[in-house]
Amino acid sequence: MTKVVTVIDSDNQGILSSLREAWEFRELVIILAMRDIKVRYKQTALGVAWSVLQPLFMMLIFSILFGRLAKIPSDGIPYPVFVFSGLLIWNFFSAGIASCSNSLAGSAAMVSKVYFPRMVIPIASIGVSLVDFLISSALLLILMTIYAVNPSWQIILVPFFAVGTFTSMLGIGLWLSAITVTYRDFRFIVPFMLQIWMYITPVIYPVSFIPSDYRWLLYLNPVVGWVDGARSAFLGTPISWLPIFISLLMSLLLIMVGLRHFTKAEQRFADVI
Amino acid sequence: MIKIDGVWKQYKLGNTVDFTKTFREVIAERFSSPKTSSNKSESFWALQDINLSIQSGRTLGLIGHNGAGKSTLLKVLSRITKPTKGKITIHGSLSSLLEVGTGFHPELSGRENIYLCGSIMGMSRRDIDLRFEQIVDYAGVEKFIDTPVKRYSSGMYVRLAFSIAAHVEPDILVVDEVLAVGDKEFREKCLGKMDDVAQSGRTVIFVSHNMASISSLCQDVAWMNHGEIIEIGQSNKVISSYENSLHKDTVKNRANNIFKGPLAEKLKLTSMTIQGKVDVYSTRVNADEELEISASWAVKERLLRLSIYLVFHVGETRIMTLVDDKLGKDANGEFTTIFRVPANTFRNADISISVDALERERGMWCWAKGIGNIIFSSDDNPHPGYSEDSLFHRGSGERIILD
Repeated sequence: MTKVVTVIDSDNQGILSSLREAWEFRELVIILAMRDIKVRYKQTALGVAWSVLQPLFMMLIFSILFGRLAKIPSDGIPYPVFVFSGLLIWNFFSAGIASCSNSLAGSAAMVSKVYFPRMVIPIASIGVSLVDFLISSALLLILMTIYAVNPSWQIILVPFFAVGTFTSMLGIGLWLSAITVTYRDFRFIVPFMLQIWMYITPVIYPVSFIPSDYRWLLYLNPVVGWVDGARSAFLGTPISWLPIFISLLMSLLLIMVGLRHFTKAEQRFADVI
Repeated sequence: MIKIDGVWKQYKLGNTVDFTKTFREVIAERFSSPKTSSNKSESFWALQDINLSIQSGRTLGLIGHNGAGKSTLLKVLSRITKPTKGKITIHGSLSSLLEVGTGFHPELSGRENIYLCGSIMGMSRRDIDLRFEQIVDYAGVEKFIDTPVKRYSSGMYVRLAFSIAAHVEPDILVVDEVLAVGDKEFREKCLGKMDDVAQSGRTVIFVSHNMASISSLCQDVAWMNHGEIIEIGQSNKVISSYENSLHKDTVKNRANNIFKGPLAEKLKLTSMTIQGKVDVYSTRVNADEELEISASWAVKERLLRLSIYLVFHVGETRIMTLVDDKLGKDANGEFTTIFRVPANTFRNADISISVDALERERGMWCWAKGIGNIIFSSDDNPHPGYSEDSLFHRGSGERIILD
């Protein structure tokens, strides 16, 4: 009978073996994500309707404030559709980061009492925002029909941009989740950071709104490519590939840094949490 | 088979005990000179050079008083925390039960929690599907399987949680003192289940303060003290030498040997009586009754405005402090202080006690840490585990909480 042999020593686990172990626990990722999704609207009167109402209200307020009153241009697309397509990716990204960064600190009881690859917790915490993203995508398609915006073949590229968003989100989320274990300060820093971050991302305004001399500065933001790319893919407008390329490189860099930091920090989680 | 080679574990007190060190201070430290900041945090060795080899199919019990390192050893074995030095090789799958109901979500139904908790403990979906009926049967919650567990009685909750853990079926099972929770019937059921596991040729490592369950379940026992294994061998032999040492190791001797501070030379503890037992290090008391602790003191020179504090703590965490500052104007010669702990203040808790004395006139202190140990036992504990809620039920009028 062959048996697994586990060696425990003080050495750090490598990124690859960490990932392999997390993969073995993929069922747990799904079960934890399902737990969060199921629990989320327990004891609410409106239930799942909240996932529909929240983005719609946000769209409504932004359309009145920025579309009607501030008259922010939207590249010829009806502003409500324009802003909703931006919010779609942005909300996915920001809600994912927010839940990721709190995930480990919020699971202190589990982390200190049972072993499983720690990475499972932040990854599973993204489940809720993924569901919201899918609901919002369906809403966008309905909105597009109402405002007679026709999608083109480009819509098949949407999953690619979603995966890109997921990659940069996970990179940042892993890093933040690990650091929040030690410094709870990040519970306050992260929401504030995300608030500011939205305004330096072309969500409520198009990329063309920024003078071309300063656009390179905008492109350094690793979500710009994904927000702008997904918007063009949905609405059938020309895709500009330069920011996407930059975001791709940034995302790969972020996920590497995130994984590295996480695997280094996870040795201490149970002692510090 | 498990082979533990020279395992050490160090904890940094600064990081684990308080969270006072914030991000701001860390940033400040980064910018200050490195020499002043490096030696700030205290550390202690929770495990010191543990060498142990456990053959497949053996049952090993770990005994020793609070803070001896038993739980730390289990945490290192179950990979929850890393050893600072040393190496452990484990042949076979290992599953640990350090707390009953880890990962339970109150809003989810019994069914959903079985899948959740089972996967956290390393079972695959298929394994859980196969054992689902058995788990539900064993816990006896068939009727309520689709009810949220927050509506369960505490007994049902604990039974379901234990049942999941009992059906993981690893090669090696590691169990901390979780059996202290629940009623007598449940405890016996758990012990029976663990006996089945041991009989089926699996390896079991078991921590308990209950010598009766240790001796009935374990073939071998290791006695730990201050992070070291001081005796290992056949269970009855080690248990009896452990119990003998408890009787010899009186509170008085410990207190006077470890009294620290400027007042230590002027004040001596002559005897300490815990619920009628004189100078016994470890005492088991009934949580449902009021507890009386009296300490007799001898003073070498007149002390002005003396206060005596009796501190109850778990590990490094102070839970309750009783104070006697009604010793009159001053203390002279010999005197006795009496402390009363109301019934049900602690339930199913293992508490260390320390004494502090302060002469307020001159602001002189002395203190002796961990001079005794009181196990508050109760048969109908409504709260599983050692959470702070269950430790601290009701306070007395005289309590002040430090830290």
